[in-house]
Amino acid sequence: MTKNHFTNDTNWQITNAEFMESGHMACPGCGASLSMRHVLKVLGPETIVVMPACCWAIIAGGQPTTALATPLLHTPFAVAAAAASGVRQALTAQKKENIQVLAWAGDGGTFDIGLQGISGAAERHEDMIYICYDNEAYMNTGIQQSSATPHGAWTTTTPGGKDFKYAKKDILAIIKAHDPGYLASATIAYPEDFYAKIEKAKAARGFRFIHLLAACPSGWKIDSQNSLEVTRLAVESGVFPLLELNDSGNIEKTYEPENPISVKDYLAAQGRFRKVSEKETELWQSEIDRNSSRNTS
Amino acid sequence: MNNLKYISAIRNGDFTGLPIAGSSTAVNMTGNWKFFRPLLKPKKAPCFEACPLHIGISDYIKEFAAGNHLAALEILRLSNPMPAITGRVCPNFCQSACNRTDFDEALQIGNLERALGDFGLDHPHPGNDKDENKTAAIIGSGPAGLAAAIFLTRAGVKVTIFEQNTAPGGLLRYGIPAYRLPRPILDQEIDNIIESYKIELKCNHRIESAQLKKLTAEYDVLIAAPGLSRSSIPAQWPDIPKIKGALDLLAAISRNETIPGQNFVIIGGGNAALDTARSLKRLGKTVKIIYRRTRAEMPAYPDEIMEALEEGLQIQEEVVVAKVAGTGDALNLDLHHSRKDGKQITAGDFLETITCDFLIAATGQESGTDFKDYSPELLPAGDFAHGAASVAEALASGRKAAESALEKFGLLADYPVSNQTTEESAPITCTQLHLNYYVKKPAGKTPQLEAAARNKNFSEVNLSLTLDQLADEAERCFHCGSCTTCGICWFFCPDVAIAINHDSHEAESPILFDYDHCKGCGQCAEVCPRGVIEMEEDL
Repeated sequence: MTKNHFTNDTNWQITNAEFMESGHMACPGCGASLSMRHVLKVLGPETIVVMPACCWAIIAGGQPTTALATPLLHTPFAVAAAAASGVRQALTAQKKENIQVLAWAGDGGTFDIGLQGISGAAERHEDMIYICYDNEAYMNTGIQQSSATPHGAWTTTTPGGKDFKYAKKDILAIIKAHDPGYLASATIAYPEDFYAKIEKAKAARGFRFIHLLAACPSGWKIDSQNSLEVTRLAVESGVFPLLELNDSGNIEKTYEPENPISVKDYLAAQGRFRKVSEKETELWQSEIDRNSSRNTS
Repeated sequence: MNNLKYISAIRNGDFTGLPIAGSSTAVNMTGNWKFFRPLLKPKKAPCFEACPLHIGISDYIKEFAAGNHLAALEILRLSNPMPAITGRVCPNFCQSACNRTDFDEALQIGNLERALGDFGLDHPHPGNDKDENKTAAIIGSGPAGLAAAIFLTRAGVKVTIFEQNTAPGGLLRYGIPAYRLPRPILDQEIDNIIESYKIELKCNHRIESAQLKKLTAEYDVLIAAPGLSRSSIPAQWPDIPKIKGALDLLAAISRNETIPGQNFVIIGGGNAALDTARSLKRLGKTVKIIYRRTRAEMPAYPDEIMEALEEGLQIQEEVVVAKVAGTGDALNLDLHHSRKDGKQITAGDFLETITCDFLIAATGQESGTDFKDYSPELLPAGDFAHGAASVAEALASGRKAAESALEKFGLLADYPVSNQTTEESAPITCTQLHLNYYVKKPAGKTPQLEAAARNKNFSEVNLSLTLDQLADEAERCFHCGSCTTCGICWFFCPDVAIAINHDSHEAESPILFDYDHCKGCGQCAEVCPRGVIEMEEDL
């Protein structure tokens, strides 16, 4: 256990045990690999990870190596939730209820390609944790736009920036409509909030969904050392609020920035938003102001 | 058929040829990808730089926060042998330089030092067993003289101090009033020093300049730290018995002498002026300070000015005393508005004539000795060497004199110093720190005696905080530029390539980078709250 000295709770002990190995194939400064490392620190070794095509399918390493100390099942793109359902059924048949099933997919496999499978698993309240690490495009295949790509962002398929008509899909609202066991958004740039949410998801039962924002230095056109800082700015600017489904069935903020920054500052920190016009920035800012004025949804 | 083959192979524990990964990615030397590599580069803290004594502040606060008060005291005493005193009277240069000021509020280093100093009153100094067969004579037992004595005896030199007064301490005893520095604290701190270091102290032993030659012959080295023990009386008013020097008055008050007169006017804006005024007020006298410039320009410590105003002290700004006339028992003072004449201040328009029993001059200090021709052997120290300054500066000056003596004796090599002194770099600034993961916390301020209660006696104004009460304050230290093994770099490493060496000894690095797997992303350098990690080109 390592006593941390960098958050409110100085008694918070973080385990020294690692279930993700060095030498994985993630790019330098990858937010997705850092997120996986800490998710597994919370979930522990009694976890089976199910993973569709996504960056992590590569990060986990080529045969015969693996970056995870837990079992890991690679699946086709569309079926992470379906395959995880199957793993859960097999565990139930063996009365191994204590083992967590973690479906771990990128935004492409969640917002676009895997969506019907997620909806099915959520409808059946399959007992799993589904975590979408959202780097806001198909990064692994060469930065193609997904429905998680924010408007204005450059990708190789939206060289002039994604059209402002097409806003990022509200995945939490979609999952909320399925009455999930737990629902939250988080990022590792806020360690206490992140750990609290993974712990809560671990303790809950049924279909649990967490939306993680994970910076991608090459896809977001940022320097690798700034990946954490840009993620933090996403939260501080209100572009990516830290949310949670509360007991009364509302999604509410778990963190309110003390001194919020403007969207402009968030966009300026990244190369992918270079083509966003001033008018579009203002539009985006007013969207955020409107959303943050209502505390819950 | 193939499926059956796989299943039986798995049952037999034979994974060959199966699409199952069995070994760790750690075999991949991803460290080859990097262009930059993280390095641990400790830097100098601004408090360390600002302190005249260069106390290893961050080091002792680390021990303080861990509850190792004795270890903290030892580090503190290494550079500052009298923390119970400086913790009370130092203007805290360190605190003014503290990087935490730009975040929320400066760390209350003075309070931490004071609490440790009080703790040290019951813990004698380790003293010294060395005997280098060298002797030193020191004139004056003020802070500079005592510091010189301590740093010399630590290296094995036998020291004799000559003090003209009945008790040691110099201005600490005869200048600084008891409400700022209670006498039991002063006595205990000095007694500890004299006893622990076996210093020979000869009180009531004034040294005249004629004796200097004899002393230089008798001792291997002679350090003169007689201080500036007298207030200078303005030259235009010589020999008026009703005009007195502030320091003479403060000394008389320290000796509990009866002070005649009721109405006092003090001219000056330094600590001596305020100390005299506040002391007289405590004796039930009527006091007024006349200062030729504005309050903001007063050289006295801001805290003291504030406390004096709280106590109801009258300060008349931008006024000069142009003429003094004696009528029987009282003095008539002609007050004029100040007129700025370039850098000079002269008397402007007439304001009023006031009457007082005594006029107290606190406009400057002078030496009480007639040492004129220094023999080359004589090392000057303290206020006598560099003019009136703070206690910390006097201590530093005494230590410097001791160091020059030791250098001459060839004893400087094994002389214990704070481990930060060797660094040459500029101190780290707040912009080089990464404070996103810090939480604002209010400073642990010293409670003060209520203003109404102060004017009745000489009780200490600033009350004590215990070591336990200050535990949170010690935790507030940023430890600018020095690794505390907080673990934030370890936490945020996406490549699991950082290990914290919690039991690191001085030779080992507290952070171990796994360069075989570090991809050089630089996030550790970007999150390090203390700015210790730097990225260096990896060739």
